[in-house]
Amino acid sequence: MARMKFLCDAERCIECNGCVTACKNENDIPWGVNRRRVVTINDGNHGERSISVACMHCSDAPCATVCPVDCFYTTNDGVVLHDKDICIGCGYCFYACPFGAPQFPDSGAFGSRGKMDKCTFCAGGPEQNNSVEEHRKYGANRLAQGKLPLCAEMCATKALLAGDGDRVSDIFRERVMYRGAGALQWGWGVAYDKQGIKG
Amino acid sequence: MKLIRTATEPAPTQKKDSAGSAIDRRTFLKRSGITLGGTAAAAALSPTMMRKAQATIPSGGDGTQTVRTICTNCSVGCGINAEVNNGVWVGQEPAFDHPFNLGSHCAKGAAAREHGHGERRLKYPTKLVGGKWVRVSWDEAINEIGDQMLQIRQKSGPDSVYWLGSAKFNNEQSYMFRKFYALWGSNNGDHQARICHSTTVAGVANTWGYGAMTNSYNDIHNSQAMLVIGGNPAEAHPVSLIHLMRAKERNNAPLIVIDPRFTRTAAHADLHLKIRPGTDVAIVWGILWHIFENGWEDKEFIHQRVWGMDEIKKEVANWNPDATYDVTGVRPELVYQAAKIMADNRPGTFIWCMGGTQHTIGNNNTRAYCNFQLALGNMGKSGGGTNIFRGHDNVQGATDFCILSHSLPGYYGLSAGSWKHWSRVWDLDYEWVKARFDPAEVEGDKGKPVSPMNYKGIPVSRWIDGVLEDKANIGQRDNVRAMVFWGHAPNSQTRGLEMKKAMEKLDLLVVIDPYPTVSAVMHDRTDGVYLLPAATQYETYGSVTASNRSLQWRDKVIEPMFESLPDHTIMYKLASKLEFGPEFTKHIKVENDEPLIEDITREFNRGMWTIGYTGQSPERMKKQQAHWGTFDITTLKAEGGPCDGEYYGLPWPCWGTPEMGHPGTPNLYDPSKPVADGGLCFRARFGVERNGESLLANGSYPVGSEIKDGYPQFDHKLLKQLGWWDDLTDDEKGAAEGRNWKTDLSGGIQRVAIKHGCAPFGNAKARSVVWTFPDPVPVHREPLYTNRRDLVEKYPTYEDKKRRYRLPTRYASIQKTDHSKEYPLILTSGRLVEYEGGGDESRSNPWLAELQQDMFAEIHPSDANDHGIRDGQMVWVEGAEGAKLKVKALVTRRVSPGVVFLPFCFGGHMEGRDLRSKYPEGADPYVLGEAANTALTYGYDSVTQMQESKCSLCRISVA
Amino acid sequence: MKSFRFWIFLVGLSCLPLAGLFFGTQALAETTAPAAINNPNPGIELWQAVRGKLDSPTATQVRGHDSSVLVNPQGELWMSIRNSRLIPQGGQALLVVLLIILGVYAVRGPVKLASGESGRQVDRHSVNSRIIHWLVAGLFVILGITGLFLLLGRPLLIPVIGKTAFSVIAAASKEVHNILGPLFPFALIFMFVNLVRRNLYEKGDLAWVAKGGGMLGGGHVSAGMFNAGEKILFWSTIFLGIGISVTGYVLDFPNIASWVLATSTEFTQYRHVMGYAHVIHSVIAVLFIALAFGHIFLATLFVPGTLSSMTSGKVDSNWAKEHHDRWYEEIRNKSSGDNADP
Repeated sequence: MARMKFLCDAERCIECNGCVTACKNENDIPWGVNRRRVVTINDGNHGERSISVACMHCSDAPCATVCPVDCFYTTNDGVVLHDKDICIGCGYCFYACPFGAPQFPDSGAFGSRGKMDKCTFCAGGPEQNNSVEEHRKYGANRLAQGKLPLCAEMCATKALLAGDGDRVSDIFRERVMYRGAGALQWGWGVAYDKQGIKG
Repeated sequence: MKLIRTATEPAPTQKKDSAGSAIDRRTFLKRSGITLGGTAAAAALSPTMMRKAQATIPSGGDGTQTVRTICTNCSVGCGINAEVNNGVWVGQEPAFDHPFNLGSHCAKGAAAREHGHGERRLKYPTKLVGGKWVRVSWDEAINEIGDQMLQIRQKSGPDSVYWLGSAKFNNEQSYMFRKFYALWGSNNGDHQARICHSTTVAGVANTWGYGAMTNSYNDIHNSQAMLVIGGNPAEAHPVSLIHLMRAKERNNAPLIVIDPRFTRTAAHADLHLKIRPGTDVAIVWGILWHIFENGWEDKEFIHQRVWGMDEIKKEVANWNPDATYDVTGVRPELVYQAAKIMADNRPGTFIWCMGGTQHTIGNNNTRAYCNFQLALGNMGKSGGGTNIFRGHDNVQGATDFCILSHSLPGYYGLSAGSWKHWSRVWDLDYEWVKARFDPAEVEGDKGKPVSPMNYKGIPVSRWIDGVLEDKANIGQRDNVRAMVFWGHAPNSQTRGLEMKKAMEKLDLLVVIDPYPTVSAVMHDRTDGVYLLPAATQYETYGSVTASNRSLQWRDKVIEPMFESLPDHTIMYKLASKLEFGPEFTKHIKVENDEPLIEDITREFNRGMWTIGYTGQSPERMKKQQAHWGTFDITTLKAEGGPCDGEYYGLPWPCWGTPEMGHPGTPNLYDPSKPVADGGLCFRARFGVERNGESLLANGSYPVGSEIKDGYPQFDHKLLKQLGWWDDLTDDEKGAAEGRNWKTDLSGGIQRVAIKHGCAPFGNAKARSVVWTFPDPVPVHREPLYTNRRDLVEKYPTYEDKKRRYRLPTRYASIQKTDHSKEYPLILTSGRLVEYEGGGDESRSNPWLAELQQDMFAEIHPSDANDHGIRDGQMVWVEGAEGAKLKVKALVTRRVSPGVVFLPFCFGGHMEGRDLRSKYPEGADPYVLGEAANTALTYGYDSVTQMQESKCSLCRISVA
Repeated sequence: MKSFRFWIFLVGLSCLPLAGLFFGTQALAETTAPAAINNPNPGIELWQAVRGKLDSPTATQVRGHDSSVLVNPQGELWMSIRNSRLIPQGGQALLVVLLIILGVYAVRGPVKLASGESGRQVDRHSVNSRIIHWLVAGLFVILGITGLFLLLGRPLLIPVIGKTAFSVIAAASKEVHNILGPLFPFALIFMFVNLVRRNLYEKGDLAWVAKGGGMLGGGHVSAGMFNAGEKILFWSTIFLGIGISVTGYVLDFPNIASWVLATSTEFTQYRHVMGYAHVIHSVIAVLFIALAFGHIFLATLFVPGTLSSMTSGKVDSNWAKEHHDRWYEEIRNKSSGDNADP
């Protein structure tokens, strides 16, 4: 059974935010909600690296365990989805999620957040596949069309991988192998007195 | 138009299990394999895999059609699969089989679909009446504009109307636009290339023949080392990084970045040389110093294919490690490392962008880069070359069609012979064309009288001087009185405050654009401004030239939105009003005022012999478009399939007629292939000898050449001498008699030359010394506004010039004043990945605008502390000519101490004033901000009038 | 429980430096370039930052709460506190308190007046006091019940009524809790102003406590208007009330920090701030509810005759005499001062 996974190769991510807009594009996400974001570590300093993050579809998802109304469920593909008809917009999943995946349309007074919205691995929600209703609430259901999440499919440098976990890790392993000895040098000889540059 | 997504056929499934059970498992796994194959791009990208991907994309089933189009942002030329249902752009799928992007997109490309839904557009023709925007009809607008232009023409001559075109035109529109202002009778037309890569085109073309990217993005797969100078492809050309990454991972090719900023590209580099802005020549010579010192240059290559390298050597000898360190600020060991890396890993590619070109010595910079590659023998090799990343999606094409003030399409120049050539192509009487121009001669750049028809027009960087300069000092009858911004943002040009003045002085200001642009609001005019809505490139079709010279066919995705019209339709309407409509489209079918794109392509095919835009017929381009997946992603060559043997996009020069079937030239000057299969040598462009030395190649020639040495360019005489004249058919003979390879409209001369394995343009050496330029050997000169006053004496700028491109041009008179006390910090600029150019389009796209909401200035922590500035605070950045910007401080070590960086993609604020209320209703971009160029200062390249926007001075204070 | 996907993610990502190290050392062995060996693994900072252990500048173009935080390690802590402490132990604690009360009631039974009811009523609480009491009490009960739904509804109610029905209840609970919650501190302020004077320390309070309010050693203990137990209730209410109100406001107004403190950059309501607030809020709530159980028990079942002080405002004079002898003296003296004993 395939279990869907994302993996972001920080050595390749260039923070172009293509994944962010691809997500907006595919799922018609409104201003203010970002199911995916790119976080840059050491921004502007040597060793700067970026990673694209969204819901990681944990196999024992913290969001699901803290939800007071138990609105989360995991599909056969290992995708963690939620039911917006049940969600009460309490925000607990946001506290629990390590990745900051849950998003809320607004964050006003009296805890008015609206229904939680998050990355669906482009797998829609509990409504009928690719129905208007599903698209309105959850966005695209690409998995049902035999496609993978658009963010990964459109990644500029193929840094963001998505798909069956086994295949993702195969690809990544292969890359690491190719980088070989270079991996040690990778990005670190960035001009600052450190050895290890070819030549 | 509202965003509507209709459901694709719903697969009935049960609640909860839907996502899992509905997947056709086999399709699904294939897909994941394919994406991963794509993700492995760099791993095992086989074209067969890509084909499979195409085959598995479901067609939607409810009348949704997939349109193959090309992204309209940068010059990488990414393919897009647009899904259209009932005229609505409902989906965007990755084009895994596209040879350039393999399905990848950056933020802008991935947000392309928003174009089909964007509301922040110019919706209908609008004019400014008493400070208010009033809607008018197209006919009214064209009539009013046309009448005013004809009036100006009568009173001040055709040169008083300025036609500012765009790199956003497709090739056909570019060609028509150039033809448009030629037939209007003026050379006062230009486009973004002037302020983008004009110094590249001039510098590179004058070194070895053509001024374009020599290899391709894909060819970087073969590089053993990569050097990026003055470029930040991770933000400007993000998808190109997929190709760089492949070389990095597969070849273990080191990546060297030379840039004043620690850019996102530098973050992935093995070596980053953080130079002081404006010291490109110094750093390149500094690296080359080690190469010559250690004898690492490619002596055989230089002997065979380069003229004048000894003089370069002499200049380079001055740039020992100490001198280089003093000027550039880069520690000597890093310079050595760079030299060693480039010498040890050949072929290495050399990539540059605006950081190198936008300088008063831009042409020196670009020639220094060329010389670097010549010295290492990296030219004409797969994996080597000068990979000049162009900016806009079609800036290469628009440059090739010479929407420029100094040339005719195909870089034919402005001489009478060139005009005669194009008059023949247009089938117009040369005398009629001549009569369109102002007949009175004026004093030219060299002080001799020249006819305006043969005199370079005012460049876009200087149009404001064309308006503001005293009439007596300019090389035309009258000042510029009407300005047409046709797809060009004003905030991409420097000296914002003077531009505001110039706009206010104009009699007429016309903006033709899908967006109102900053031109609509930055001035305080109350009348005489027209905004005409143009369609975007997704709303029309035609060919577009990517940076690597590949021409791609772009299909129309949706109909023009609101009342917008395609640019070529507007051109036709205006040409008709301006009384040259019939001549404008003499051999082009016009339907509903829209000239037929394919006819335009065929017309330019008949004339663009110099650079081989002749073989790319609409039919050939469309065939390639239908078979993206058959091209190899490294060589770009189709293996099998209908396009067998052709290179993707028939990269120019694609010699001869379409019928000749030349496959295009993937890498310029590469003698390892026959000319008939895309091989080449350096062009014999500068004569056959200089100071008694031969300029022709010495024992180097493309594979299969029947002449085993250098030779001059082909003309009818040479053919006869060689005894090849009779290879021409009788018809060709008729056309070729008295002509050369550039003017023979039959293409016979080219055909016969290639038949004998020869390049039509000759086979010469590249010239390291461009004796026609102000600095024949590239030298370092301090910027006009510099805070290294101690270097000014040793590396002074030029003397002021009385007249360049019709205008007085100042150098020394500016540099001699010391501004470094009041303005101690260096000001530089660059771009952001989310936005493009002036940003009017991308800032109107909410998906992108949300990601960059504030104009900012990058300030080093030490400067921030000196001025009491904290991260996130509002600050004033004041340029050395006094223009002030109110921006947010971004305190970061990305910049060096003493350097302030501004992104140039914002507009709509002016010296702290928010101009949102001045936009036509509903057409204001989501995000506004200060335009960096408002604060940037005077300074123009000595050859091309490129603006200096990469190093000036400023001061900062808390706002 | 510990097999989160993100651990796999982290481990997967960690392959990179490890592999780098592996191949790197191999390469070094071949080329014998000793200098590189001293260099730390280049990925170290990255992976530390990924785990949220490095205080390095992170940035993102996406705007939102905590968007620039890559991994929030506090979330897991909060989750484990909520799931393995608050819900089971909070629920158990309340159950235990109820059981104790029942036990006490069973053993000790109601405390009847030794001298029976006199039939004479004396005024104990004014109309204002009663309105304030019931305002606090009403809010408390509503907030308590809605809060308990949110805390315990999933384990207790969903199995019974199903998710859909419970979602309706929970959504309503959340709205009611969020809207009425902010009123609670105001009610408390009224109560404080109203009763604080009577709840200050008086002589005899210590003795009352020492004798367990009469539970120990038998016989009534002397007390004023409020005995020490009631004073403890008062002050507990005030202090627990402050705690629950502050944390409640933090939870209910995600932007309150930026409103209160104009310079919001220094203090933002990050997720962990919210998480801490939630834990404190919940712990206080449990204590508060337990306290309220005791109060209700004492005022109704355990000491008959008490409730009327909050309904009619009057109590039987014998009740006053036995439970609050000094107060009874006080009001008797007061009334005899200007009016003869009836």
